[in-house]
Amino acid sequence: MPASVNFHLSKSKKFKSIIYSFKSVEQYQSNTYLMKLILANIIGEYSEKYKTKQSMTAIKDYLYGLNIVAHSKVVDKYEIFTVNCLFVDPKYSDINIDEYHNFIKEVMANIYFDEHIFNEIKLLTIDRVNRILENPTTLAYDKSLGYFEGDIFKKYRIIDIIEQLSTYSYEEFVSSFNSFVKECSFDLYVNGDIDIDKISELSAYLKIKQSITTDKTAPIKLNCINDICDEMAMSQSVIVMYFNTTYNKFHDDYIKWIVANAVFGKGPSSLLFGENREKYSLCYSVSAHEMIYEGVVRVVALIDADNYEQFKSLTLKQIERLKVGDVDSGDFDRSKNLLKQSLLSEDDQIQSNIDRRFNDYFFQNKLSIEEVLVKIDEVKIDDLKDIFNNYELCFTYLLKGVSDE
Amino acid sequence: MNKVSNSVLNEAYYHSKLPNGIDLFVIEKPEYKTSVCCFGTPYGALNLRQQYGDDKHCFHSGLAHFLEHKLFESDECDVMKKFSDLGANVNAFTSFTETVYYFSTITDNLSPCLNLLLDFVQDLNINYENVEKEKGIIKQEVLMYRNMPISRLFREVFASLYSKYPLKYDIGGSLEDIEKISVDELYTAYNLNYHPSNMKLIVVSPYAHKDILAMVLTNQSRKQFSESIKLNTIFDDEPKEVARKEYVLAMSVNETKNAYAVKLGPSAYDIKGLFKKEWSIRILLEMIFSPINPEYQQWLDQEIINDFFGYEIEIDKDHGELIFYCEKHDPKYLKEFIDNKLKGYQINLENFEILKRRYLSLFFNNLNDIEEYAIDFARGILNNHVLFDEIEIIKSITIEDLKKYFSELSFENYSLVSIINDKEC
Repeated sequence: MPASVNFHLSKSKKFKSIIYSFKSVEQYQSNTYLMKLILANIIGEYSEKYKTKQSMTAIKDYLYGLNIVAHSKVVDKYEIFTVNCLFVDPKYSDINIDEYHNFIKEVMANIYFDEHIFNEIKLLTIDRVNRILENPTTLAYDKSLGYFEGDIFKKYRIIDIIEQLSTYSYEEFVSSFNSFVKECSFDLYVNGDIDIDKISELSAYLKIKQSITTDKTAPIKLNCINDICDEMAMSQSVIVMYFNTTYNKFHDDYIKWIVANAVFGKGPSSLLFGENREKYSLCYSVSAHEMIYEGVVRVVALIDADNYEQFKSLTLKQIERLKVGDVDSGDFDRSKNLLKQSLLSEDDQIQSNIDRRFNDYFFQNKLSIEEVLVKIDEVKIDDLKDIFNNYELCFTYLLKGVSDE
Repeated sequence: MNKVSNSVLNEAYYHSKLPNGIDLFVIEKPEYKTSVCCFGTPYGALNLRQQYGDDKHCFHSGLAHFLEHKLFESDECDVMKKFSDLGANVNAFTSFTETVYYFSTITDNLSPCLNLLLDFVQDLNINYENVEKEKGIIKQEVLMYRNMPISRLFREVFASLYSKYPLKYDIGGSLEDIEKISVDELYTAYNLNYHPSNMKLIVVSPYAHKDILAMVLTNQSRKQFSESIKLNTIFDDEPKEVARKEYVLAMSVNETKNAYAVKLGPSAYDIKGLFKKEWSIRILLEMIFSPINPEYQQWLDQEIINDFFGYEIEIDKDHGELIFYCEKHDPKYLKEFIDNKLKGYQINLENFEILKRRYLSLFFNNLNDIEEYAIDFARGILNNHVLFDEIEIIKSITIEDLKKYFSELSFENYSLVSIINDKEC
């Protein structure tokens, strides 16, 4: 068996497919990120052996619809580049594992592009990104990030990515790509019914080696800014509220913070669902999300513009309630249950299992699922008081719909 | 219970019809920890006019979806909270043809969760106040979809194709109709459509089918129901012609979105025949309008299409649509392009065989996720077919089927729909 390979195998006979997830983590730089956005759309579309869309589609279909999806995302100061390969378990097809591996080797090791392909993919990437921005919730979130001082969230903003992509040249891409393939390291995560020897051979061929893990960073404190309202031709409005919290992924009280946010705005037992939606009928969709590195929580909801003030004050009222521990103990337990259920069910899901194992590795999480479950159980309502006393509303944004149905 | 196996998928289900009429299907998955149960009725957004005996009922659009929201209301407990107490997640959806309530749990609480699912779906508790309160939430949900350009494009396509058939409405209903929905109307629709003789229960779980059958029988033995209900849904005669030949809507979009939608009309086949026709045409279209066709690259290079380009096909006994969509070019250009390519289509035998492989793999991949498996199976059953049968149908398709079914299509009645940038108006 070849040595010095870095892969993470979860052998499971329950699935009808096998998934390989190649993940590379590097420090964020705007030019390498743009390169990876484009590369993500080249991998699985073109290779030295399959230089046309037609030939690549045909071989994937021959391999029973082998599915390759790559993507790149920014998390704090890192770029996480992922290539997922999903294929039918060989025992359900007439293709053997070596045929699948030969194709994966070709796609991963013999990436092919030229200037024509680059231009096509660049245009396609811009179109896709523009399309994402046509969703009012995404647009409101993206626009709101742009109002913070010092371009702190520039790396997350789709609007900025489009602007950078439009002037990104083939020469820049080639230079960045060459550096990447020379230096890059991947970890390989596998889920399905497959032998370790087979994975070892593939990993050795592709020179899989350990990628970097994250440093511990402190949460940020956003400067407070005045409410801002932009207008758009739509028949509904989107409100986005940002809170500084002083907690993040690396805080000792991370689990308490996650539980606190679940009680505040995740799921049907949360205060935002129970009050803003069910009691006052102000919205259908409402939730609170953590930016886990930055330690910022944002509340997003689709509302009628006339209800802006009511929604905002009601949301702040829920924070005040949480500061004094005014929470129904049943709702508190249910929110904890929801978190526990979602952790426990990951082993029954082919993709979630991989995502968790990557996150554990990347964030150097030493806790097992069982230990996390115990920690969730240990969180008390009184702990919420400490958490929410550190919450501070720093910005409210409204993307106001100005057309009627 | 009767066991039915599928050797290709290496899957099996058990079926039993309970004394009160509920169809129970159990798929044993001992290697999983998760259980998913779906309880559904073949009652959706299309069932606006129904007949039971001599009684005819006419409902407002969006009623099935409204009912789905209100069934979670209970005098005895908060249904969602009770599921959470039991360590389960509960949810529901309404489509054009069915309403399904389902939960998933990884705990040993299958029995109490299953009882709760059966109990809350089989007991409607509503009043004037809580019905009025729900209207605000539902309107926001309907508006959410209307403000999403791609979702809106398809809604406007259906509204352009149909003048009578209820596909012309949002699943959530029109805003005016939502406002008019009453407690009485909700009870009437509920009593007609949620009778056990209409209900299907699908359980995918590590538990043995005998245990699940015993749980369900015990629960149902505590309840009394009227005689079984045989319902008919009535549709007004839909003209062959489309409701709107051309339609343009201004919205906040970055790129114009267009559709060329063909009204195909009803197809006189049984359920397996309908599937065979739909999959045959889908394979044929994929051979022409996907990257497996060498010309596809040229179309991209010449900017005739971009990667938004695609199509949807639905073949049903009451209706049928073939919808092509694209960005940038106007729909007249799209129509001309499509018509031209369809005129001289060629069938490539090799591509035909490998496309069948692609579609077979979709079934395998979908079976990995227990929740998706249960929901797909439930939707199949509620539309009178078994998910496993589709795989046999796809395998049986021949080149002759492609030619035969395509020759049955008429492109005479069509609509051209555009969503343009509001700033260009």
